Amino acid sequence: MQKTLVIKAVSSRVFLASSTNVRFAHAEAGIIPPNVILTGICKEKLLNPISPESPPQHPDECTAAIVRNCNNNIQLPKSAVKKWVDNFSSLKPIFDEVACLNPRLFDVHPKMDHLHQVVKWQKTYREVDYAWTRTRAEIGKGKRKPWPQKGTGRKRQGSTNSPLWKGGGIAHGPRGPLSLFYKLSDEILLSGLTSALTIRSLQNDLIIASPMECLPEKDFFLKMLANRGIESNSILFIHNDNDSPPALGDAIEHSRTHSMMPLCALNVYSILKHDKLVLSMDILDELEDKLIWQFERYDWHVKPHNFYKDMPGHKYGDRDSLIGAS
Amino acid sequence: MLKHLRSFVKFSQLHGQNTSKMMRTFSSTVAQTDEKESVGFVESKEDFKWVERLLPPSRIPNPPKHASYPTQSGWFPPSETLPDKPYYVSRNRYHLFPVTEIEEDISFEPPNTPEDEVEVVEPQILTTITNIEGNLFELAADLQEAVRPYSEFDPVTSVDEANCVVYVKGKYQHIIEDFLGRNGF
Repeated sequence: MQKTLVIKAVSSRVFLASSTNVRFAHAEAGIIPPNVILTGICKEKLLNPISPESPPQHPDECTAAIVRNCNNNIQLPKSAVKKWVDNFSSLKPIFDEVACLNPRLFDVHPKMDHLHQVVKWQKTYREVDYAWTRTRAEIGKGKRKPWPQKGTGRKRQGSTNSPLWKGGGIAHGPRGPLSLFYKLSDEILLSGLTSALTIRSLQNDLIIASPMECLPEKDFFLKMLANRGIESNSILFIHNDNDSPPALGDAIEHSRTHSMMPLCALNVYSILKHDKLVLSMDILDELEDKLIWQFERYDWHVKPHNFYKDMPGHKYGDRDSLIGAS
Repeated sequence: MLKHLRSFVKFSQLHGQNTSKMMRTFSSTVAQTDEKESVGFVESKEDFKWVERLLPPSRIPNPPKHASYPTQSGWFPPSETLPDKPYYVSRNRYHLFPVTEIEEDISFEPPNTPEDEVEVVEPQILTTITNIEGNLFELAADLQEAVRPYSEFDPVTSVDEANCVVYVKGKYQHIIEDFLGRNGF
């Protein structure tokens, strides 16, 4: 007797006719076996899937309008990295505008050892090891010699707190809170960041959004992602330090796989943790200026101080923007 | 009399009173001024520009365009067209060639070894070239040929692909800089 499988999406769970639960599985239309009956939301999703719209051409090859040019000089042999500019307020992506990105940030020979070092540093520099054990002096047991030196047939012992004894002190154990803080050089942090950004851009995981704000209608956000083919990817949205898009924030609030952060919080661990990276247009200038300044500044003689002019993001006399303040 | 004055001043200071007023009553030469009229001041940041022009810049400037190259110090900029090579060596942040001479210490002894047992190993004298993109091995081969007329022995080069660095055994900084300059890097 052929069992018929009735798939009815009720809070995305599937019930077999023989009352055993089976997890709902994404299946393409061609793979669904003939003895399966689709009802409800699954029917819509599987039989009328939203096919993502792909760009007609690579931005390098077409003559679309360039909306954003690089502020800093681009040295030979590289040329600007061109990306399509997306509009999150429209359901379907429109491939009209192109933004240029600096190749020193987005087209770099990626150094995997530096990436690994930066991620490891991000995980451990904040850690404090609170393990603590008692030495023989701190165990509050007997101070007396347990048995006399000679006469009994046993080994000579001076106290019951010694590390030889069960329940005695630990001779060379961990002693108190130990911080695992350490500093990485600017070189390695920079190459980690630029490597992460290039990896995202080379593997088509970087999106530039001109208004990163989506409309507050119900299900707009999911449909918008589905039309771009990134429905099931984890996405990291980066916005301006001062303005955060409210409707997008509401849509993302309860999502495990989407996160939003300002530019000052951009870090390698988060970039690598999410599948896709979305940068809004208004942060590109600041990002480029700050990182290119690091490549073109004088060396610090001893340590950075605040008597320089023309530092991006830092102003002489401004307490909030001090570098290396102790 | 003075003793009395001093103790009087101390007493009034302890109680936070204005001693000058008290003292005035004892001397007739001090001019009388109104206390309620404060001097006042105006804050202005106009003169800060004299400080700002003394603050150093943090960013290395681009070199100005000279009438003729090389300049008096022998510097010339990289060529504006791409050289016809499978690699490219870009300038460092000071607009100079990325060539340095190093002495790499390759000896390793665990600590506290007695002097008799220490192996005397001479440090490796190398010339390093960084900021390279493209085919590193071709660059190493070209450098070997450029260095050959100046070296006693067969020139030796080494390539570190992961860090994009080429090493040449020996001290050949000026020769390599000439070679890179001739090729327009």
